[in-house]
Amino acid sequence: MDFALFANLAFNGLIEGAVIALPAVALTLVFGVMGFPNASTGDVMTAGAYAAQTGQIAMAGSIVAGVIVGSVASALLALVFYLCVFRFFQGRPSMYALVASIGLAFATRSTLTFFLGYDQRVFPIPLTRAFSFGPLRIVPSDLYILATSVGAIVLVFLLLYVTPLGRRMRAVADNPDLARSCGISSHRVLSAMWLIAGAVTGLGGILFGIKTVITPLMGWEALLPAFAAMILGGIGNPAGAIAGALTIGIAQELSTPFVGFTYKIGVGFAIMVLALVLRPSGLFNLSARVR
Amino acid sequence: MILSLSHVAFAFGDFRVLDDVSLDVPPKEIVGLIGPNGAGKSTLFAVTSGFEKPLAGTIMLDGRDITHDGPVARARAGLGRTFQVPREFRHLTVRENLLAAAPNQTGENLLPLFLSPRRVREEERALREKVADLIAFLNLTAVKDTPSGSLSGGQKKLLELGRVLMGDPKVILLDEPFAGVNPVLIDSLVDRIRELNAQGYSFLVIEHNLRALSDLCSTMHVMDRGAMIASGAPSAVLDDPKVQEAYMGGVL
Amino acid sequence: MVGTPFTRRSVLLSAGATAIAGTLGLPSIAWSQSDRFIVGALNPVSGAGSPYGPAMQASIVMAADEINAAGGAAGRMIEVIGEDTQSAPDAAVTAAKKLIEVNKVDAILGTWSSGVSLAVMPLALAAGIPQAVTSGAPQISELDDKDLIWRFNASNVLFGTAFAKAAAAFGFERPATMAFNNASGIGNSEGFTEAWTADGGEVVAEVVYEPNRASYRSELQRVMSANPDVIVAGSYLPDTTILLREWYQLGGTNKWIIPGWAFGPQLVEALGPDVLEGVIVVDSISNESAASYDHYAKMFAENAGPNLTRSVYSTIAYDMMITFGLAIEAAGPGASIAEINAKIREVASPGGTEVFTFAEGKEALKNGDINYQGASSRLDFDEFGDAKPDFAAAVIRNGELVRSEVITL
Repeated sequence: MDFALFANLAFNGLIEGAVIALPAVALTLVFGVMGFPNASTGDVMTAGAYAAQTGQIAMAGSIVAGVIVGSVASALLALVFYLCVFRFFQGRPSMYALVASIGLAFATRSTLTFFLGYDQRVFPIPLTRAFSFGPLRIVPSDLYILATSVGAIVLVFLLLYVTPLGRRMRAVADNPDLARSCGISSHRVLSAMWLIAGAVTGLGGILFGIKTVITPLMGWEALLPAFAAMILGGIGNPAGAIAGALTIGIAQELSTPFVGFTYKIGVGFAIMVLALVLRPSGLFNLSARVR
Repeated sequence: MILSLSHVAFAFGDFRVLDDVSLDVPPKEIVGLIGPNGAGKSTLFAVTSGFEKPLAGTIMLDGRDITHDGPVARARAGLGRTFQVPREFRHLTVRENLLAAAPNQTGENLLPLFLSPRRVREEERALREKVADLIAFLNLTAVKDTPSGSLSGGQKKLLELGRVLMGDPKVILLDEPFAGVNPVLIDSLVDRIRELNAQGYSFLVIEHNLRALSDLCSTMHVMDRGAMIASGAPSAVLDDPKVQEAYMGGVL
Repeated sequence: MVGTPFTRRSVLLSAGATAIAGTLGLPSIAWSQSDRFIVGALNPVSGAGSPYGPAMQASIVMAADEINAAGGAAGRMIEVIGEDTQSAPDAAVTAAKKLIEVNKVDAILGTWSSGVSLAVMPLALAAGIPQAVTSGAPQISELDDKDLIWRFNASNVLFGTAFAKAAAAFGFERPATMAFNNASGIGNSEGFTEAWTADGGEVVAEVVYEPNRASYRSELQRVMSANPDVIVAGSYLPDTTILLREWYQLGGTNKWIIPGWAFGPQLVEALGPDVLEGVIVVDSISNESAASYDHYAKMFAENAGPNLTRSVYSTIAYDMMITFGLAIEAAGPGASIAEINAKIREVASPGGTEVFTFAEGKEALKNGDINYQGASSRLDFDEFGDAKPDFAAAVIRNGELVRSEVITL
């Protein structure tokens, strides 16, 4: 069939997947280490986007300043959630923490809309025109988004696999009791983990907001694809989460000539279910995992 | 005494698991602890390492009262402990297991990671050297980059010993180090323990393999049903009729 | 907070009403209390309809105040209880249930999007209370078997026909449609296609897109590959923002026709005047030549807070309350909800003295039938309970709407 069509579809899916990969990584880090799906991830994305846009406007339009403000804000928010709420649910059934996270999601959304209203906001970024690259039509801002996402992911991986902190995080995820007997303070390690997860989540929200618009519900709605990506890649496996996000993103777009645009979301979930049936632990059983 | 347990008592509900148990580990000695199943040996270890709180008694580590310290604090104070079923960080490699067990790395906290990268890098380099030496000592060089979950039972025990050593302990509690280990490896383990002892580490060892243990330790204590029934040189203790009776008349 | 109109004494906050209503415990027979008429103002305060919801709610309250100031309707005072649909069917159903079961409302006014109206309708029908909507989905008329649902706006088929007339008026020949995947978006596009092809024209591409996606590039590329000269969108503000932005970045050259509710100052703010230059906006318009329109405009200016923006929907919401008030008055004291409902068509249809305010209508009813000419349209409900407003096409020039022509169907 038409190669140019499929190439463009795949490329679009790649960009979408790259954006969803960030909250997927955060979800999988938290699930791997703390043992529950953090439903507040979506609204931390939203908070990060709002903070970044506010920051960008306050800093005379510098998008870099906005990104920093937004990521720091969401990192701190995630840390606060851990210190004030999730910390107390450790060792209890994960259902409690899940319900608490849903509550935090709603609380965050209500607080945001109370102060900022329901109107949509956009990042004041100049529009760029697409250029052709072979059969592909590429919009420059999409390349920036892809690069930012890749950069953030590389940083997270460096942190996890090269630094002593990352090693301890993986140790705590692997065997919390043993970590304790080794003298590892899980509290410090977990605090660091939540900061990182929060920053990555916020960045995902910012990229999503740059590509689309910032609305109070945007993060909550991105939660399901991120969750699907995490499941597809194997819980607790950051590389898997990224691969899952890209797979779902690309597969969805590629399916549209056959199933239409409205069913493509179903395709993403169908892939996740199929993969789970064939390989319940997730697609990727890499030896080096968070957990 | 490097480790001193005085009049330790512990109960599960009404059941007295430990009844007025006292035990000392002199510095640079290997002390053995034996007894039939259910005597309370593992519970004594649990109380000593801080995973259970005693009803009564005190525990002193190199002159410091650690009775009310949690396991993390005790580990930091110099108490190391291995487990009957070895525990490791399954997905981390042998090397990473040892690196993770080193205490007080600057690079563990987020801020110093960014603010003092040079110090982090130097510490890391020193640490890796130390770990490399340890891996060679433990004879695990062949598997140093394998995920530790796929090691054999004996290798896991060696790794566990290594992990404990990373914490620079003063005294090490060994919980059945020879259980489930093939005989060839047992000799190797015994050698390692002796070498470490020569370097200055003290040990308290629970074991059922009485032959291997009597070669190793200088003093042996025997527990039965929560109480200490005999203490002394290994040969004397093993000949003690009380001890033989406790093992139900079996030949020791 | 953006546009909360809870400043009027005739509005009961939910908490208070809950306490009182909770003790009544009546089964859901639609019998109204004889000294009050309780109205549930169920509007999109948040979500896609949030540019309109707050002003709609405020206008209903304003109308209720006007009625009460004129001595009430048939001896009854109007009470308004406001709720938020969040522009989402699930949230709207929860709110509607609360209004019906806890607050025991006698009518629900102002559901905005088709998805929401369709979700709430079964509840209203089961409770036997009338519901007034601004939504366009044709199914609303089809499913209304008790004649309780009143559409104070044009149906999507009518909207689509207006879109088609506008497209023809501007000389387009190769339209493509893009529809938001809900009853309203699809209704609009299908209405357009029906009207366009009935005149012998061809629609070169039709795409339905999902809400809340990170990108619509693929959908746009599909449509643009068919080379349309205009894309007719059945969309809302957030997705229109994304569609137009991505279309512009992809280098599209075709024109756009978008619905009025997808346009607003936020669209201009988000995209800038360059992207929007020449985009055609079609919407139903209010009954601009009528005295009722002037009256409402004046009332709004005097009573609405600075954060509220008058729109075609707030005008409709105002008319909803006034029409109901007149129906209550016409039905006389002690009337049942069914009897009041039966009067709605009467007070708004031709035959009878033309009136333009509630006070006028109340007075004229002493002498015979009336025909309320609403601020939003002549009303004149057809056999389905649908009104038929006029439409207008405007072109965006320099970020401002410049009206181009009025379309009467």
